[in-house]
Amino acid sequence: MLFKNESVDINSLPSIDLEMFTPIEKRYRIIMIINSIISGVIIAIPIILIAIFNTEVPLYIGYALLSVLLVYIIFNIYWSRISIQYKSYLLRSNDILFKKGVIWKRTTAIPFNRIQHVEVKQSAIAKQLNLSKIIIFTAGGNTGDLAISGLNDETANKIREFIMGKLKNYV
Amino acid sequence: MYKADLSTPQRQNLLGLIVLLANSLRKIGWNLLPLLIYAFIKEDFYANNKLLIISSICALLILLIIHSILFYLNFLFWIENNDFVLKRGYINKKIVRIPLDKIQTVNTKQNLLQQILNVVSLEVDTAGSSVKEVSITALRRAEADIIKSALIEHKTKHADETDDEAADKNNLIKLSPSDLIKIAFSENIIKTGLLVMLTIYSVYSQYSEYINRYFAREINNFENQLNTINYSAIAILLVLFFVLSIIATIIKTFIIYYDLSLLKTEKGFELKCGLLNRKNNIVPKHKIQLLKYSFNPIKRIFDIVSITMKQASPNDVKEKQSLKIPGCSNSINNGVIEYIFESYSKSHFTTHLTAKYYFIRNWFWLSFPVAIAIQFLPDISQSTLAIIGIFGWFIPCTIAIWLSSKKRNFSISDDIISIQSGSLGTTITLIELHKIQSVKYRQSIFQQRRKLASINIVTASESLNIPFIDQQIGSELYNYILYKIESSDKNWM
Repeated sequence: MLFKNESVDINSLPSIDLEMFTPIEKRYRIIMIINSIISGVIIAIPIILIAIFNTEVPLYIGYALLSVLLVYIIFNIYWSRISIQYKSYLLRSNDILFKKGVIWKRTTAIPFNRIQHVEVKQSAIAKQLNLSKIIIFTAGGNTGDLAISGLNDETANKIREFIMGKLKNYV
Repeated sequence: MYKADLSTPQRQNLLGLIVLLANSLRKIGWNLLPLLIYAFIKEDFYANNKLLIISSICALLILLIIHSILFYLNFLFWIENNDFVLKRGYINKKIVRIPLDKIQTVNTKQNLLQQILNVVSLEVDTAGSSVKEVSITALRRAEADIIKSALIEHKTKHADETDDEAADKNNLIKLSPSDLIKIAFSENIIKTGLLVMLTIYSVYSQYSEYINRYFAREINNFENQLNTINYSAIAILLVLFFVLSIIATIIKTFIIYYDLSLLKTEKGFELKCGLLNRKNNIVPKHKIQLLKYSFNPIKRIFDIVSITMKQASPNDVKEKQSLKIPGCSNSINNGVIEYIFESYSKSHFTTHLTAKYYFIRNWFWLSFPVAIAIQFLPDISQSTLAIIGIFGWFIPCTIAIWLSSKKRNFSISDDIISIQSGSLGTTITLIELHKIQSVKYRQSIFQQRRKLASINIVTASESLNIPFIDQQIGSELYNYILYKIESSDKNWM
């Protein structure tokens, strides 16, 4: 047992192990793939430029680096298929939980009465796919914030409305 | 006695002009320093351009004086509709408005010049915003006190009761010079020494051109001596380093903590300390997010515990928002803890240890990579030095990791969690459960096999890790913290 002197029965507390999490939208994988390609291209540009203009560096090093990068991008695309299955969220009456990670799993919980504000964001590509990202800010700074990507537009806005409604009770 | 009427716009004290001027002079002077050094070191440059240099310095001075006067005249502050309003700037006008209940702390500070002029600067800190806080550079002590209490206690009109209040305050800690010396000896002397060396080196490398030119002979001599290694020279250097480190630590301790006093006020604490820069922080105790206290074997002998109290702060200004007391006795530490955590003395703590596997993982990831890297160092590999290097690394590393994983544990009571860490020294962090902002439950697949998990606790001032505890205890802890936050009606600040 965790506590000696409890006034509440530990077993009666709501437990996260028993609840059903909602997975994020599968379409989000397209954005994950596009993102990894974009970041790959950004890394590739300086490599290519150096390979072209700096004649002192042997060409095969450039090829080797680019092929490593290519393998990394392909792996990322493959991995996104697995990792997306592990991203899921759960909205409860007093808090919001978000689960992610394949090898290093983590479940972040933010109680509504500690939320500072909520933001819904949408990138240009995500707009085409009807996807949104919800960001929840706490006073804990970067480590305390929570961002859930890959939500349907309506879902994200509904969650935001739900949380904002809850926030009013605490002020 | 001066009475500040904060309902109408106020200017700071006229002496503020001097402080403002001095501040901008110092800032500009510091930036121009390399240029000035260059101008004076290059022999003929100064002689040839005497008129130009002197006239440009004069022009700069006049501009600065005009700037300071304009800045002074346009610097106004007042309280309006429960907001603290500050208006400043003459070209870029800026109005800062802070709701009174968002104000974290109001601190006063005095640098050397301000001590001579007998004025203080006042700084207002808010939580959650990374916006540079408000600061007023020159106020009389009495004015500052009135503004301070007006801001903290939300009173626009303040009666002259500052003197009575002072009597009520309970002086908890007062450090004498001998206390400070004791504290300095128990600090991490070697760390300070290394820092000093690093600073000297960086200054040296910045101005190496000039130094090399002027001290060429001395440097040559020194290099010659270094080339012929003798052990007595190394010993002398080591002793010298140690002595210098001790002196540096004592100086550092005196500059920061000279004449430190911690007062217990009705609502929280008031801390005063500093030699060249006197600062005065007032912190209401409900705004303290966590308390850390630490000791090491040397501190144990002297009965010294150092305490840090942290307040809510945005990420980029960590240092400013904490009250640090370098040393006090164990019993006073307990008094401070019981004052902040009211239920502390009545709480029953249950302690949970960290799993052995934590040691194995850290040991594996910290000791092996370095040991392997040593083998690949060009001059060292394939020699007896490599073997010495390995043992020199492995043994202390293993001991340190072993100690740190043995020390790592957490204790929990109904309202408070206490996390212990450290290797040679010990640090204990106390947090009231309702002040936690969010919790993370972490489990890697390697931990899953061993039925272990880690918990991350995020507070408004710091995030803390409870690594490698039993899975069952981990999830109970997670659920209990969430339950505590959600069911508590106490405010976190």
